This record gives sequence, C-alpha cells and structure tokens, in this order.
Amino acid sequence: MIFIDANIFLAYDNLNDVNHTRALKILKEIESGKFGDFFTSDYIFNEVVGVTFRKKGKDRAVLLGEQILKSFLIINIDDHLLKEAWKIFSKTKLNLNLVDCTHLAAMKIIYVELIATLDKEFMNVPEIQVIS
Amino acid sequence: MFYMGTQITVRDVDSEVFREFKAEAVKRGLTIGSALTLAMEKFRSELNKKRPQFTVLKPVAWGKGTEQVSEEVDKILYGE
Repeated sequence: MIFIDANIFLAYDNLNDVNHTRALKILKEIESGKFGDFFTSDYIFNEVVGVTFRKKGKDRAVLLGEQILKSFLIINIDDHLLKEAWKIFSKTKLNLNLVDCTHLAAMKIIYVELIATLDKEFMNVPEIQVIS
Repeated sequence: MFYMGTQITVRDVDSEVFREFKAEAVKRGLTIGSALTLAMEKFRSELNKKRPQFTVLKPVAWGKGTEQVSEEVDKILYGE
C-alpha cells in the first residue's frame, strides 16, 4: 500500500512542471498495482485543490479535484490522527510541517511504509520508504 | 435468526481508535462484533470499489512561471 503526496498530483497535472515526467511515471506504476492499494488524505486533497486554484484557476482546480475524488481512496484526518500528527510534529527534529506529520500519522495507523513524494525530507524518516 | 459468529483475537490495534470505536458502537446500540463486521464490510467495499484511473485526466500546460510549483507547495500555501 502506498500514500500519495500533493506534489505528485501537482507535478503530473502541469506539463510545465520540472517533475512532470517523474510524477507521470510514478502514477502509472501506482495504477499498475506495483505498490498494491493506494490512498491519499483529505489534507492532501485540500493542498492540491488550493495550489491549483491559485496557480491555474478554479476551472482546473475543480477538474483535478473531481478526478482525485473519483480515483483515490481518501483518508479523513480525524481528531485522533490530528493528535497523533501533533505528537510527531512536537517531537521531530526533521523539517516537516504539521500537514507532513498527518501523512506519517495516517501511514503509521494502517502500517503503510511507502510514500510517493518529491519532498526529500521524508527520506530522513527512518520507518518509511520514499518512492520518487 | 440466530447467527453464530467467529471469535477472534486481534493484535496491534491502536488503543485510542479502538476506544472511540467501542464508544460509537455502544452509543448506537451495537455489539462490538456487529460494529466490527459493519466496519470490515465498509473497508472491503471501499478498497474494492472500481475507480477510474487518475491518469485519464490529461495534464495541461500551466504556463510560464509554474515550473517549480510541485517543489513550492509549502511556500505557496503557507509562505514557508
């Protein structure tokens, strides 16, 4: 099972993005079932739609958002996961923000070790493996 | 109808999640066994749901100045 970060969706959707080809390859591998089931979170969804809205406009943000809603299992970051994320955020010495820590909390609770992300900081988290 | 379920022992369950799950089940008048069965059914159907491939959505050119967007998510959203 693999968790997918916002930067993968954003790099895929933008032909001009320096990471577009990488993101396309990763998403094709994910869809082929290479890493098993795949999921993302409502926080990621919010980030993708927010960035697309700012940089490309509302129409594209809606299209991209609808496709993510149809195609992915989306984990809800509830009170418990937020508290877990807060614990990780409070303790970590890594350069991860609270949203990044919600990814780790979601992954931890369902024993997922793989994350598709372009954020190199996740490579410093010992319990997980980064696909990039 | 009388239904005899299976007895199971489960390791590595997150204690806080289980506490909340139990409380929700009790609030709704469900036994832990029937609530767990419902949750497992829901989990199975969510995972097995037929979903269209994401990459059927054709990417587009976002234009000049957007080349680094995937590396600047935090900066764009949170000013980091």
